[in-house]
Amino acid sequence: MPNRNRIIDIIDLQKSMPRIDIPVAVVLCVVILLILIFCGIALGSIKIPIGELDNILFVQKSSNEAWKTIIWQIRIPRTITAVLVGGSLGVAGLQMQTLFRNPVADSSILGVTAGATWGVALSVLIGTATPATDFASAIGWEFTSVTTFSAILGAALVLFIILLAAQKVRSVGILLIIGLMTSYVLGSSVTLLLAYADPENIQRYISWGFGSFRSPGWRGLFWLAPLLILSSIIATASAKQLNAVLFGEAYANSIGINTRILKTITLASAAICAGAVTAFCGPITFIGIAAPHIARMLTKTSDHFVLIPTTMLVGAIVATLAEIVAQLPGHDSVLPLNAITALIGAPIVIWVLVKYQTSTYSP
Amino acid sequence: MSILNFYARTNEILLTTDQLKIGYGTQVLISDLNLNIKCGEIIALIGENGSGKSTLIRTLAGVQASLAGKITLNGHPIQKVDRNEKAKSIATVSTVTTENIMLTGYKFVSHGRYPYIGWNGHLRPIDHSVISESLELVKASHLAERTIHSLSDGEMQRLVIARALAQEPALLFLDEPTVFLDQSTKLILLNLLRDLAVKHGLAIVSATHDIEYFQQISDTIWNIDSDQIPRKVHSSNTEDFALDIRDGFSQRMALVVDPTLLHNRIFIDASDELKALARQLFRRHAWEVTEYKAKSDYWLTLGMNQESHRSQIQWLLINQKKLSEISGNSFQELAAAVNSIRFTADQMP
Repeated sequence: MPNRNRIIDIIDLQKSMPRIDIPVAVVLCVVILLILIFCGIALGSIKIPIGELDNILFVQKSSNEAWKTIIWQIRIPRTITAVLVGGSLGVAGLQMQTLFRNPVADSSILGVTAGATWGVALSVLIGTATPATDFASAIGWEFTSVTTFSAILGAALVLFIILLAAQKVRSVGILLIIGLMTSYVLGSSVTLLLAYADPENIQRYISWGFGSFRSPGWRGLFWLAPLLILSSIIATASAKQLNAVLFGEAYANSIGINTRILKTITLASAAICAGAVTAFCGPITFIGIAAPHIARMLTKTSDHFVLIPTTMLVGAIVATLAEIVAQLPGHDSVLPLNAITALIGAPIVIWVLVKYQTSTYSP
Repeated sequence: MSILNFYARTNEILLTTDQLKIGYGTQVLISDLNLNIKCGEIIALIGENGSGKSTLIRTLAGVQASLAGKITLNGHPIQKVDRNEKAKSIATVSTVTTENIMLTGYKFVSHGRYPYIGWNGHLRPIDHSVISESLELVKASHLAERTIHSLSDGEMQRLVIARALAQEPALLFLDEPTVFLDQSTKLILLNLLRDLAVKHGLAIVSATHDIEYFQQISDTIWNIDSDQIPRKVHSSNTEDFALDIRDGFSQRMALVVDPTLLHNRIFIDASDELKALARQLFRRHAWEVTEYKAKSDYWLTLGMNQESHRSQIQWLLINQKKLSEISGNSFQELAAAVNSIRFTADQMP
């Protein structure tokens, strides 16, 4: 429609083209994350001199073998886990908030987290009675592997239900309710199990529910990392589609986006992320809801090309920070991770929301 | 504007339907639709709420499946046209909720380029130039750096249209574009739509309740008549008159029907060319044409209306307050009187 003779336009354009500037917020986030990663490795219940870190990290030699083990077998995998889990959960939350047009959505809304929890509850609370645990013990897995395996089965079951529903149901609202209802059904069956379970098993189940970035270790990361990286790549690759769907599915359709494929891919990637995280680290709450909001307030845009990387960084920051605090540097005890994320994070989110509500942002 | 040029553009058929049936599932809203949309044509789609205007637009835009029949876009069945290709020829303007969304006007309009760009969202120089051009066309360049939720309804409407224009469509669908706009903004919008159709050959289909505004620029009116089930769309093609109307609108031809209605008399103030045209037209119907000097900013324009099965022309009023001042009557009385003056289809020149 507008005329195609653009030679002059393009010359004019050099002046009118919008500045490409990486938001200051993103640079700031990268710096903070790097500092936190360093702190995550340097700090912990056992004090290791900072001078020694250099040797342990780069030369892999140390006067104290225990220190080397702590750094390489505990702190580094746990920090990597925190960064990956935080980043991918944040992005999954962002995907859900955009797709469902709901500011309090995160990946747990799909019921996948509940599915994983249900799997864990079955294996932990009933003990040896489930096929999963039979299978696991038959091939000689230990407790954490059995839990993980059951969680993956539970998450996969719900993922299957959700994807099936996504093919049948047009409205994302109904999809949301299906996810919620699935969560309720699974949640109440867990409650039933709790009512008749061994106190010892209940204790194990509850402490699993605290969430932990230490439990996967290198072995867990071997499975967890590819899944999380995959889901993050899918999210990043669908930034354009997510932008289009900001103004509703009908609009996205009208500019050539296949919203059915987008829905399926987005739900699958968020569910894989939620399922994998819950299986390996327990149900990690809060980050998925909070990280996108903090990212939106920092960058003041709804553009997913900016928002997705920022949310990843913010999620990683929140997770790493929470992990450091939960370890209570210098103390022997460890705090439940989920308590820390929300305890520190929620007031920050409320403060930031209230502060910015008048100017530019309303969730 | 060259009249010849205009006609050359209008003859090319962009979209046709053959025995089209629309609705949801088992609920048929309209059936047996045989419609044509030509380049540069402006079509006003009228009908009561729930009569299927939006459904018709969605179906024609290829976003919703039809129940039966065929839609042909540029000679190809619309279901077979690739999504992206469809988005390059058809754009839709509907109400947008900007709640919770933080984007600059420029970013917002850039979404219209999505059919043309890759997954990474990289805008090429040509995309930037189309976006700037679209913003310029709707006179919204100054909104490029504003965030969309700080804009008024009228400003937002312009950006929504700019976003649709950034798709470089041949066919533009609008769903109730005037609904939240005040009177002067409505007139600006109509001028813009007319320019797009006349100067750029864009075909425009607009669902509207503001028929008194749209009549001034429409070539064709599709009336979803609610009396018949299944409802039919009556199409009146009134190209000859459309030209007069457009000139009348753009040149602000003032036409006033004798408010007393004692004589078949109209008062006209326009360019000599238009006056001659009007004389020719109205003498055939034994109307007396009287020249007068229009007082500044009131004017009447010729409009088309489709009533039941016959094509009819009626006079419509713009700038209601000024008109009631000159006539001394209340606007409603006057409107009723003026609306009662009609020509029947067989009397049309």
